[in-house]
Amino acid sequence: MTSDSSANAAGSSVLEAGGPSAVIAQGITKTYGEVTALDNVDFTVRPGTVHCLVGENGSGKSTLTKIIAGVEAQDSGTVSVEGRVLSSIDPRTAIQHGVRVIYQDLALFPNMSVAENVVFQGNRSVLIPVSNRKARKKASEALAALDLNIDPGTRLGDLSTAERQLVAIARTVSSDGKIILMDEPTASLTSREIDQLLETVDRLRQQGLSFVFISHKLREVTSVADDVTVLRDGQLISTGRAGEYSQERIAELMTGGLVENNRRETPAQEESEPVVEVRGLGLASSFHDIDFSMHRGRVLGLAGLVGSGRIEIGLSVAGLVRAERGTVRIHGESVENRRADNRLQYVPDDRLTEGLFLDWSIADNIVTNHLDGVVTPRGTVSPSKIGELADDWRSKLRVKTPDVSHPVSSLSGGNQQRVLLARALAPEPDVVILNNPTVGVDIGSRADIHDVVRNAADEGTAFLVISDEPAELLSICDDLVFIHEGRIIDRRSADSLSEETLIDIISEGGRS
Amino acid sequence: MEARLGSRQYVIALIALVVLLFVILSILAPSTYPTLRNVLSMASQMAPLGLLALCVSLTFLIGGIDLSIVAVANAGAIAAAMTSTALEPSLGAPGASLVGVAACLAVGVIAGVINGTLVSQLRVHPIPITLGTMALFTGIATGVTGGATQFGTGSLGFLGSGTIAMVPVSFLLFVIVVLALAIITTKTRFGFKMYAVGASDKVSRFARLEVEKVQVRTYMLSGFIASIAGLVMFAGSNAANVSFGSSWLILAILIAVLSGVDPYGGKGRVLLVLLAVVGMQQVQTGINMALGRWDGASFAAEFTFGVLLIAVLGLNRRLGKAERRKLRKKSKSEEIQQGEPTLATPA
Repeated sequence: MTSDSSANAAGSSVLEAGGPSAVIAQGITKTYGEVTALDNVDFTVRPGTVHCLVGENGSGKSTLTKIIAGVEAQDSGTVSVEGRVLSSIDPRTAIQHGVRVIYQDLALFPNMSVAENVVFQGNRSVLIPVSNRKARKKASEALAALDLNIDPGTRLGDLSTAERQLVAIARTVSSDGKIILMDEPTASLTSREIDQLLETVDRLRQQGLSFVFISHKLREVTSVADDVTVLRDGQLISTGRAGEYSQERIAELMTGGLVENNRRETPAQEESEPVVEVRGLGLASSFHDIDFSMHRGRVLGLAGLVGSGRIEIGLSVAGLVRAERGTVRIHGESVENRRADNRLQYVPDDRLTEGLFLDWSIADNIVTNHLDGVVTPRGTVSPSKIGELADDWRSKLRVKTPDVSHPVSSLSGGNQQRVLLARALAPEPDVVILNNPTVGVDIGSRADIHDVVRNAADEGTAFLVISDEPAELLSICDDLVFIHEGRIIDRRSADSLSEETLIDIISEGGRS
Repeated sequence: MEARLGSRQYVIALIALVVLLFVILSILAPSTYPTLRNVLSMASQMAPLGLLALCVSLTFLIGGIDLSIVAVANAGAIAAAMTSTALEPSLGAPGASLVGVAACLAVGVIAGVINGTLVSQLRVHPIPITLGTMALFTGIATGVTGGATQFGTGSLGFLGSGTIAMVPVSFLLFVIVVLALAIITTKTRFGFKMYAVGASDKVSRFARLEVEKVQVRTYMLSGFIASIAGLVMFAGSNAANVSFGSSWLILAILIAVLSGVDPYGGKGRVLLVLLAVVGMQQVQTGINMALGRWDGASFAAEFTFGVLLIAVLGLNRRLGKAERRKLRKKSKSEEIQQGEPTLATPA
């Protein structure tokens, strides 16, 4: 963890020399239950700079921004903005000090006009009416200041994601924001849109605004950052001027040198008869003309930007979203009600609200989709059989717990994810659909989970993997299908791809 | 499993409450309360209310509620009265009553399926939906009867007032239904899914459980049991009217809450409705004994039930929180003893 301590010390002394800082966070520690999200982290943003905060999922970067924004209270440590320590921890105080956050979902109102969105301020009394003309004028000024060519009268919902992002920035600027925290602003943008966003950020930086930019796309980080801070497992790993960091170095610091790049070595050959055959699948709002086949023992990946329709395709194959057109055949027969079909299993990406019954025991969670396997001849569910099944899977997937009767909420993220995988694999399905199987999972667990997937595939299960992480797709998939704006734009074999080409295909959106 | 059933202490507390009430009331009225006659009399009154409370606790278990139960019970009773009276000339009293029973139960099942279908398809909260169907069922029953009381053939009397070895038949019926439901909810695959839907219908959906099917079946079961309650009510008085038992809905909810079944779903034991009914019946008898000659007695009773409902709800919520905290602490300390580090990462 302290492998980079020399650079760390040098870095922070450099930062402190740069005049009054926009934000200084000192000794921030935050725990959620037994989980330490941040451990004594120092973080400084110089005025008029872009400070990139990088780290893997679950490294604590979102928690740190939430603390600076006053959304979460730290357990210990102080945050000061422009030299003044924030006395009370709440979003209002932070806003008064000029701190603005642009969240991933942007928090805009899709049914209001651009102007209304720009001038909306949550801290204004609802009783004071907003004049429409004034609003338009103010919005026009804000948009002009960013050199944006968007009509303030447009309904926000009609704009592209990238334009909405820029409107969100215009809002923060028009409300006198001085420090703008952006949480993964480029996750759903194409490379051209990213360029436009980065230009805007650059212009505002020159006007003296400060940015905290969360991202794990290393190319952006090295191109836009003035300073870089790397977090890993809640620890400050390294901080300093961007010039000191190459993409390779950041990647190594983020992962602790444990960059996992094993590819699948012995994938099964494609059999003539596919396990799942998707033909012409379409749903008006999300995806069109989706064709692909899944084969016994092979892992198919769906790659694409956030919001490209990948997740909806997975949900639709799993029977959780009804497609309007097309067929899904399982072993050659068309299956309409796929939700009731236990040959298929789905693992959602949000463990806490979609995946697990948090109050339930580990055992009850594992058995949820395999009740047929734990009934006695009389047809009643047998608690002892549930226990045996859960113990079996605990040892197979190495779930770290002394007892499967403990609540699943007592486990760490990685172990919770193992429980979800066990639940999906217990009924010995032919097909498993995984949505971001290692979100918020520590590095060791991630490698283990990848092994679980590879092993299950070796035993004949067909997998469909949806992931935001290029490295993950390359590590477990045999074939890749690229989705852009709901359509398939490319198909590649994973062997032939480097991570760079993969990212290029995703973010070019098919236009090379 | 333990997380689903709720704490053991609650069972003990409920037993203690029942015993305590009996002791206190016996001390207050030593000559009338602890007598076999009084105990049997109380037992004979428990069935309709207990059955209705079962409906509420079943729907509680899946995170819903069925407010239409009293309306369904009355509609079922009216169906039984009208069909048996109409068929008496051709089939004779016993045969006609048998058809009446079938008609009553059919009304319950149909009403339940309507409730379940609406709840699962409209995805609106079950409170407004079952409030709506309550008005609907009452409206239909009023239309059919013109609001007049319907009388039966009188051949179901044994169900209302009969005894087997001194125990009221209706009470035995109630106990059988409770036991059957206890087995269904805790021992079957369907029961497991009921707890799952109650714990989180979102998680259940993502786990690809057929949430709608579970909802329809649960409300159907609720309607079915409500119609059994209607049958017991009808058998006792040989009369049925849309306005009978109007104050029983709040009592049924109170008993369901007292039984420890979480109104938010996914937790509790249906079996404990048995204890909760015994407790409530004693409270009711106690109030009647104390205030029997006062004009405002029924008023005071309703007031007491309202206060109790809120108090028990609040207490349950508190207990639940403390329980969860303890459970978490326990598993943490065990993990520490095992010397296993918690690798962890919040999102």
